[in-house]
Amino acid sequence: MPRVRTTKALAQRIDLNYFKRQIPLRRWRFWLCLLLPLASFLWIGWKLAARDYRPYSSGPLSAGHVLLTRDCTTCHVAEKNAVFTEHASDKACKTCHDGPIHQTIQVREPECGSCHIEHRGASRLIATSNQSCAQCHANLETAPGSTTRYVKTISAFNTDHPEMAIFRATSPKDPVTIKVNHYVHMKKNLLGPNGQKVDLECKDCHRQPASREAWKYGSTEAMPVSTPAASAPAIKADLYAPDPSRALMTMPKFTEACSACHLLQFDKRFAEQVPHDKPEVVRAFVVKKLEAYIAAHPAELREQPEEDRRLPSRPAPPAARVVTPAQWVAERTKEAESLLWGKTCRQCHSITITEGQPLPKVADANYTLRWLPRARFDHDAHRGFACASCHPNALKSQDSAELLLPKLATCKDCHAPGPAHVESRCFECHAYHDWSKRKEVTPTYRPSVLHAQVSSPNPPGQ
Amino acid sequence: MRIDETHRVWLIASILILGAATAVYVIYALAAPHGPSGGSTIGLVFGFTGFGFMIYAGLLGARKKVPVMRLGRAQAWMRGHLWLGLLALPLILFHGGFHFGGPLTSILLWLLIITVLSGVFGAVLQHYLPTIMLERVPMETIYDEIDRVREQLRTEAEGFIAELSGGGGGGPEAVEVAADDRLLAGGASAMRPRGGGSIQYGLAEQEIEPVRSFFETEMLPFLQAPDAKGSRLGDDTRAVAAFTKLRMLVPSVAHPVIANLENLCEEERQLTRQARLHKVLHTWLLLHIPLSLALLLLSVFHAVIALRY
Repeated sequence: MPRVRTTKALAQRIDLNYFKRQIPLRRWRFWLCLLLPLASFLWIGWKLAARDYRPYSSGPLSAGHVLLTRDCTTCHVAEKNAVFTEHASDKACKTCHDGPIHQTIQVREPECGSCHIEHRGASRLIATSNQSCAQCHANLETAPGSTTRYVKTISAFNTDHPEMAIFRATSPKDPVTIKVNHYVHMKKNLLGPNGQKVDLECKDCHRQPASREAWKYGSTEAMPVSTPAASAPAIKADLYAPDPSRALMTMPKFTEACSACHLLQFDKRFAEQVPHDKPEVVRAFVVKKLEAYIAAHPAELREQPEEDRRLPSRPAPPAARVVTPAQWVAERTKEAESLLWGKTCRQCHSITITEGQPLPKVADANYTLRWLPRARFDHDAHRGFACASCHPNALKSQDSAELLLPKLATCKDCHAPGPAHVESRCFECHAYHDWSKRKEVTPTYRPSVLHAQVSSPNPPGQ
Repeated sequence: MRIDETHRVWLIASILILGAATAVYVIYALAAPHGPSGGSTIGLVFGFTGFGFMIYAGLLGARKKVPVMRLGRAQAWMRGHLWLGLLALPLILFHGGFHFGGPLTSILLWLLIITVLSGVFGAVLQHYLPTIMLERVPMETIYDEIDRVREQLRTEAEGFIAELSGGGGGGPEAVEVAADDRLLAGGASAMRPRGGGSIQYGLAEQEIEPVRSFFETEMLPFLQAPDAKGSRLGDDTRAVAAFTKLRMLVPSVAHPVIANLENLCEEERQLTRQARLHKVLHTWLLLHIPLSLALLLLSVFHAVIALRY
């Protein structure tokens, strides 16, 4: 007889208590549901018992604070009125960092943590967001009664950042009094030392203070133009970078950059040149040289005018005369000073000769070392770029007063948001804290204790 | 549970919630001075909402423990579990600003990701496998009872052989009901010969020998170990061929018994298939449920710690 499946028959072969039995799947599920949460609970309990709060950290600390990783209470301190919370307080930050105030005219002082975000890994805490600055600068308010010259609406470098203050002036000019014709100096085949033809480079005059490369045109001695820089004395490489003394260019010095070409000769009788110094020093040098000379050549006290044979009809020259040494020195000094004050020095310096004054007045160079007092710029960070790529006018400028500083548009070519550009956030150029007003802090921590806290599961004293 | 048109409301609501949350997140992320943070007001709203969804999803297990309580329909709970649990992942990602943070938060996020992904995997299985099971396992029984039913199938098969041999105790009716089987609704096989009673086939011993031999050498080992590889009765096509060949060796009067034996083998194969599908259908829960419990426990701890510090 064929098998027939009836519902009743199917039901009859089932054990009515089947659900009370544990099948492997259900048993596994039960134990896993018990053990896994239990393991989680034990892990938390173990870490709590060991006072190791690292697992609860919202992220790794910045590189500068990594020693505090285990000791959360260094920064997370219960405030007086706080009931439950223990947020990182400004007071804790100021234990080590006395972040000076930004501006005396600011209307509010943000909390440290509102700009410097911790627990984001080994990032720089200084790398604050534009919005941090824009909290105030997007709509700048200043203390009542204060007068401000600052632009009131700035939110980001690439959007509404104003042009540099120096360019916002009515007629921006370089206040320097030294007369340098960049165009002439950057010409090819310039007449150089010993009559050689040379091609000047920017670095022959403009360098950072830390630069140790030999100056090509800084010697009064005849120097071949082809002298390689490698011939400079070996120097120890900088161990630490960046070097602050490489950030800004120093003022070009005559003895380093000019003296090989611009000779300071004062009299044909002397191969020596006057020192590049104040007029009184120059005069003393000249007088001393002339006195020594006339003492050694007394025959020159008798002056015999040269016969002029070009024009026979001309009147006869005056007869020979004899002068005293002092008179001779005075006359030669006057001639030398006439050459120096009137031509040699005046070629570069602004010289004022006032009647009745024994010596001329040389204007102060008024050289601007730092053009952006409210911002940082590091030439060394840009060392890979040709000078003219940012200062194109330097190749054609004929007026010292012309401002050769690049405008912000030049910066924006590279400094812009996005992966294909370099950093453009505010902190790249501007510092919030005025560190000139910093106060010294009282040292609190001992490195050995912090080291022990990092490496030991049971830190001392806990 | 099948994801059908009854989920439409949940689907639309979930899309709307996700869209709104995404819009809020994008605006918030662009405006936040230092990017999104779990500790900001909006970050906390995302966190608590996501945690609330996780709690709701987790309560399904509790709801199943008290099925008699009127706490809404089980179907509604299941749909909520599915959709709100799924929404918890993006909301928690918005909460953390797509950062994994420290050790605890990293563990939490990975637990959530694994839990949600395993849940999605389970939902897909639950959607497709029941249909497959209906088609391929028409002789399905309760999974827990498969072993017991298999024993009954063996007994039933032995009964058929005894019946063919003309033994008085042959047939399914001869199966003894064990003392501990009194709680069974029946205790014997569900397959009963139509009309019942002992049947004498009048076959000589040598005529039924091929059947007995087949039963002892192939069928009984197969019924005892249906998962073992190598038996041709474990394969549909080869089993049909084996029984066709067996029919050719015995008189036609014995063919109904052979048909019953073949049917028994078919049921045995279906039970094997059912067990395999059942494991596929439920093994993911070994990952999903324990991880979700650990996730909820650690989330509570994370919330307390995060609010404190």
